[in-house]
Amino acid sequence: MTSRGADLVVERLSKSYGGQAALRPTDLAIKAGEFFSLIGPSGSGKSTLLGCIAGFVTPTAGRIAIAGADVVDVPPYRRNIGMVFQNYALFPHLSVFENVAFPLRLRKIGSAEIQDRVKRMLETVRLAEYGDRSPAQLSGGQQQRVALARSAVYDPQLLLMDEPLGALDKNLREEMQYEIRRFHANMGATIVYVTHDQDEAATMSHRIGIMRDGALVQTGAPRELYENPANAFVAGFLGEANLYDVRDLRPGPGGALKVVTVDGLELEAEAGKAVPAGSLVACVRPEAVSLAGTDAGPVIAGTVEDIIFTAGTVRCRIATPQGARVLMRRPLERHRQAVAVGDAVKLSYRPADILLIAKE
Amino acid sequence: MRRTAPGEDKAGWQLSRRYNWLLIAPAFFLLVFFLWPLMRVVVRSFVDPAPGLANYQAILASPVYLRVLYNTVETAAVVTLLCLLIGYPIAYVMARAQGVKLRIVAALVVIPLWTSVVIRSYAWMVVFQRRGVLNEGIGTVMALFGESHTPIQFLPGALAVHVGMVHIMLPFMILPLVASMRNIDRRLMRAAGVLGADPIQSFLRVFLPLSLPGVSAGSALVFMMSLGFYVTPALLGGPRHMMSAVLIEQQANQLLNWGLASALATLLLLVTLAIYAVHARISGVGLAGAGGRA
Ligand SMILES: Nc1ncnc2c1ncn2[C@@H]1O[C@H](COP(=O)(O)OP(=O)(O)OP(=O)(O)O)[C@@H](O)[C@H]1O
Ligand SMILES: [Mg+2]
Repeated sequence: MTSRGADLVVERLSKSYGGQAALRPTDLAIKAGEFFSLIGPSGSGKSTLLGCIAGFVTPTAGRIAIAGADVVDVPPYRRNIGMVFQNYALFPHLSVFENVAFPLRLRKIGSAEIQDRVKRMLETVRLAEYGDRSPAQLSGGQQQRVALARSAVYDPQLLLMDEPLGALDKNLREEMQYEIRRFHANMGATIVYVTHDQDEAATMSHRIGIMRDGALVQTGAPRELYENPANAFVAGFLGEANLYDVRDLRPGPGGALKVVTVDGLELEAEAGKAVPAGSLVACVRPEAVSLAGTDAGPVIAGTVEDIIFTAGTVRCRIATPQGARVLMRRPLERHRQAVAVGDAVKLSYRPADILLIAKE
Repeated sequence: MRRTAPGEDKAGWQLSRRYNWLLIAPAFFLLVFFLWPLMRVVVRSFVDPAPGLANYQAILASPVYLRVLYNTVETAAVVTLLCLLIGYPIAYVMARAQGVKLRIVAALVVIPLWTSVVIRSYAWMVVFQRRGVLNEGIGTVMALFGESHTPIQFLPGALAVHVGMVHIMLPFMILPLVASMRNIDRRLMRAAGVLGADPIQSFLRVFLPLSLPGVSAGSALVFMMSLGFYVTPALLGGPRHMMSAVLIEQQANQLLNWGLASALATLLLLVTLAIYAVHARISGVGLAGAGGRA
């Protein structure tokens, strides 16, 4: 049952609707068997890109190759791609069993084999008992699993999933995330996965592509994107970030680089790192700052403005005298020093954790 | 075929049970002006002129009456089938159309409804008569080939009745079809395509089955209306192609044979109820549901 995945190459692919660009010329290469996630705000072109790959959106220009074969002129029904739709798109007039059997019946597979494969697939998604039900009689999570089974039962080499977990509650989401990962491990298909949820993307994928305004802004492994965001948008979209517009860079004490921000904050960054051209933004991750024990390194002084406890973590927002805000995040257990709103504190950080990135 | 889940939102408009008393007025109206006369017709068929089954025996014993009943059902079936064959593609286009195109097609379908059935039936007489448009047209074409044309006698006849009735019934087929087709989620067709269905397979395996409630509603409506249709068969059909409504009118108004007329009407009512039962089964609507809902 292990079908090797197909590799996917997208070159200068674009789509516009009556002059409005939904997808700007985009290049993307996904390796065989890779789990690739697309994230980005609503309307950024994720579904459009997926639709072009699946074939029901006709691109304005560009090339798509699946397993080396050019497919732009191939109709969807000959591309042999699996797809899970944002709204599941289960056939309401067919039973769960027949929904999953649908792609097999089209492929003229013998009925004994269909019985066999559908049964096994329903077992895989833990719906063996539900074959006779109609989709309307299932919960959202169960419908989702039927959609997953239907998209994979014919062993497509490429599986596209458009926000498949969008409608589910948190617990079910996590369970389904696990199930999809297990699925991927068993099948070995290449998966392109669209989600709104950055955590979901980070847990599931080998690589992530971040989209904005119809363009792919950056692709890379989750950690790579987190540690080296290409610009302020990526830094802000993936995880939390303190972002400050930079006004000036000067040589600081001891060969360091002094960063002066628009709102008057002065930060020390490591000198000698390449700095992008154009307007700059200083990015500080909330876990990179901590309450200063000693006055060893550079510090930011300020007053605690707000404290928020969430499962396992504490977030403090500190206001500096110049009016800048700094968000600090700590694991709950490490938050020993009890601070209260209104306390004057000093935050320490390592200059290496001050990232200077492009604004756009 | 369709099952409804317990939680499924069944009706967009549902009055809370507290307001059920509001239904008393329309129920009263139905009772007095609809059910009561109907009951009287049914009762009369058994008691006029004398209590018993004499009226029904008379119908079953008479080849002429049976012939008329058979004619009625056959004509209704043919008209329904023709309406379905012609109406389905039109409804398909209409269901996909948007904006101006939709308004134009909808107007073309609906405007004939505003014209009197009598006038439209007379219009078909003009077309079908001995020196009518059709015969003249055929004559002209034949003349081009140097042949002579003896006018065909269309009137009175089955062809004219079928054409006339299809013309009148078509909107009643198209509108329920459009309603049910508009309810079909187009993304399902897209999904079918990605799963490997070519356009014809998508249509046959997804669109067609999902439009069946409309097919059933439209067919039931047209069939029931055709069973009781009077004007067109009376004008275009003549005695040889008589339908039940015409016969009932003769029996009641000309021969004053009210008992037999009532029995004929009751038989038609039975056929109508049977058709409705079939439709209700197919589309899953109960007596309470509206006929056109998909
Ligand atoms: N059929 C269409 N006609 C016109 N514009 C469209 C069409 N489909 C998409 N668009 C536009 O293209 C842009 C990208 O849409 P797309 O559906 O790809 O966004 P998305 O990233 O999937 O958003 P979401 O996260 O909300 O699903 C949007 O601005 C949208 O309005
Ligand atoms: Mg989308």
